Amino acid sequence: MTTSDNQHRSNNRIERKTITMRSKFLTVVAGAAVAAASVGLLSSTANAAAPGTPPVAAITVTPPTGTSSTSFTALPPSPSFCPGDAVAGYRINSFVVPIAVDPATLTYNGAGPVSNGTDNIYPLYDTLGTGFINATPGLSDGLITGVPAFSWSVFVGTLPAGNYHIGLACTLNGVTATYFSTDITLTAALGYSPLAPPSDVPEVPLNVLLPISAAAILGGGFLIARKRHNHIPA
Amino acid sequence: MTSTRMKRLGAAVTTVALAASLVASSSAHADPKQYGALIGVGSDTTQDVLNAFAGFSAGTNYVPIQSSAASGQRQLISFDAVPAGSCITTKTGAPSFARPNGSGAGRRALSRALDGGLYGSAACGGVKDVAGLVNFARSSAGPDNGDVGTALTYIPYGRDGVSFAYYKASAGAPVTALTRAQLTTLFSTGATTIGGVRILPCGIQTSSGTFSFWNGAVNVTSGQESAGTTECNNLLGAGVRAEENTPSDVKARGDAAQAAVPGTEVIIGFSAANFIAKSNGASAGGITAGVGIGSISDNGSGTNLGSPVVGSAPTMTPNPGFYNDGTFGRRVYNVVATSLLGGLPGANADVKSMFVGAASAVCSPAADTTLEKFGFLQAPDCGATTITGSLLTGQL
Repeated sequence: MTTSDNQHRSNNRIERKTITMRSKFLTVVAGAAVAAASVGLLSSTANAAAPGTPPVAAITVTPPTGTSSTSFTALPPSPSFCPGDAVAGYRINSFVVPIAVDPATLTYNGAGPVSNGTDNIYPLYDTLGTGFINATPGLSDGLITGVPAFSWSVFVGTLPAGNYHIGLACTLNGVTATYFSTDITLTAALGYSPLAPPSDVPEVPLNVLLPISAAAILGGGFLIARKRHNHIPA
Repeated sequence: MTSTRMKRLGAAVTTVALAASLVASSSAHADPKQYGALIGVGSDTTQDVLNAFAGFSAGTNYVPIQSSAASGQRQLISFDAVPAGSCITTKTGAPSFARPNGSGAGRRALSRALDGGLYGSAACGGVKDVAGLVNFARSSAGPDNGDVGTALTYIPYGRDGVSFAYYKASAGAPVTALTRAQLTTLFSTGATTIGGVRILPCGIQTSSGTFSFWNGAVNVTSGQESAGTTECNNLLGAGVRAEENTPSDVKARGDAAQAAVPGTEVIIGFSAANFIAKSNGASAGGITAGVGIGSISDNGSGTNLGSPVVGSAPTMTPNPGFYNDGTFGRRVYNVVATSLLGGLPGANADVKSMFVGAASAVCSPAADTTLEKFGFLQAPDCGATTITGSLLTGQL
C-alpha cells in the first residue's frame, strides 16, 4: 500500500464522516422543521385564526346535493379535533356565510356567528330547527362529536341564491381558532350542490400532509446516507 | 410479511373500522332525551316546580314537559339554586362552574353563556367560559326598574305572592299582620316594637329574585334594607344573610334573636308559593314548627290583602286576591335569549314551543296542574314575550 493509497483512504474516511454528519444534520434539520411547523400549527390554533387562514380540512356534505328539505350531514374527517376541550374553553360552532366572507374572521356568541351587519351570517340549523351553537368537544381530546343532521328549511325566504362557505368552527372565547369548511351553491329555492370549481381547501389536509412529509424527508435522508455509505470503498 | 398476512390484517382493520362507525352512528341515535335538554339555572323560588317540569321533584315523578313534536320533543333540566357555594356541570365534557344561587345569579350565568364572558368563583376552579352551558334562567323577579334592554326576554308563566314569614321563640303570640308602611319602617330602620313585640327584620341573600322583589314591595332601597337588616344578618355570623324561603333558617335566626334580646320576633320576605309547597309536601323540607306566613293588612293603597294562603296543610292553596295584587303579587319567569325568539321564523322551535305563547308546554293544562301543586297560579299572560331586559354584568 502506497502513501498515496493511505492518503486516499484517509480522505475517504473524512468524506464518509462528513457525509454521515451532513446526513445527520439534514435529519435533525428536517425534524426540527417538522417540529417547528407543528408548533406553528399548534400555536396558531391556540389563538385566533388570522384572516385568510385556510380550513384545517374539508367538510363532507352528504348527500352532496339536495333540496331545502333534504336532511344532510356536514362532517369533518373522522376523527377531527378541536385544539382543546370545553374545560379549556373550546366550543364547536357552525356557520353559513357568503363566499366573500372569510370564515377565519368569524366570532361567535350565544346566537351563533356574529353578524357583520351586511352579510347573511348564520349558524347551521338541524332538521328540527335548532342552531348548532356552542357544542362541547370531547373531554380531554377535543374530539368533534355530536354534530347533527342539518337542513336548509329554516332559511327559506331568508338566504338568497348564491355561493356560500359552510362549516364547523372550533372557537375559544367566541373567536375562531380553527375551522373546517366546504363551499356550496344554493339556489333560490335553497336546493344545494357543491360549488365548482372546488374550494380553496387543500386536497390533503395539513395535519395529514405534514407527518407524511416529515416521514418522507427522514426516510430520504436515511436512504441517502445508507447509499453513500455502501458506495464508499472500505 | 406475507401477502396472506397482509390480507388478514387489512380485513381486521376494516372490521374494526366498520364496528367503530356502527357504534358511533348507533350511539348518536340512542342518546337519552335529557342529554340534549334545555338547561336552566337560577331561582330558589321556582327550582322545585321546574324540577317537576323536568320529571322529578322532592321524591315524586312527574310527566316531563316537552317542546313540540316538530321540534323534537326536547325536554328541560334544571339545576337547583342550593346548596350554595357548590359547583355544577351542566353538560358532558363541559367545565364545572359555581352553582348560580338565585334569580340574579341565574340571569348573570345566562348572560355570560350568551356573550361568551366568564362566570364562576374560585371555589369551583375560577371563572369559566360557560358559552352554551345555560339555555334559560329561572327568575322570580323581572328586569330592574328602568332597564330598557332587549337582550333577555322574561317569559312569565306563574304568579306568586310575597309576604313576611315570622318566628317568635318566646311565649306569647307573634305579630302576624303588618301594613306596608310598617314593613317599610322595619326594613329601613331595623328592629321596631309593634303591638308590644320587638320585631327584627332579616335580609335575604342578595342574588335572590325574592330579595329584589321584596325591597320593591316594601319600598326600600337595597342600601336601606342593608341597614335595616344588619342586626339579624349578624346573628348567625357576620353579615350572613338568609337563603330565601328556608323555614329552618328563619327559626335559627329567631332562636338566636331570642338569646340576644328575649321576646324578639324575626321576619323575612317569603314566597307564598314556596310556603304552600313546603306545607303540602310538594317541596322537601316542610315548614319548621312555629314558622308562619303573615298577612298584609294594608298594601299601601288601603287594601287589606289578608293572608297569601288559604286553608291549611296538606290542602293549603293560594289566595288569588293576594297573588294578583300589584304590590305584593308577582310573576315568575323563565328567561331566554331574545335572539332565539326573533330572526328566522322556523328556527329554535324547541325554545319557542317550550316557553312562548299560551299553547307552549310551560303554559299547558298539564303544566298548570303541576304549577298549582307547587303553590303558584298560572299567569294570565303565560308565555308572553313583551318583557325584556339587558344582559346582567358580573361573573357570579
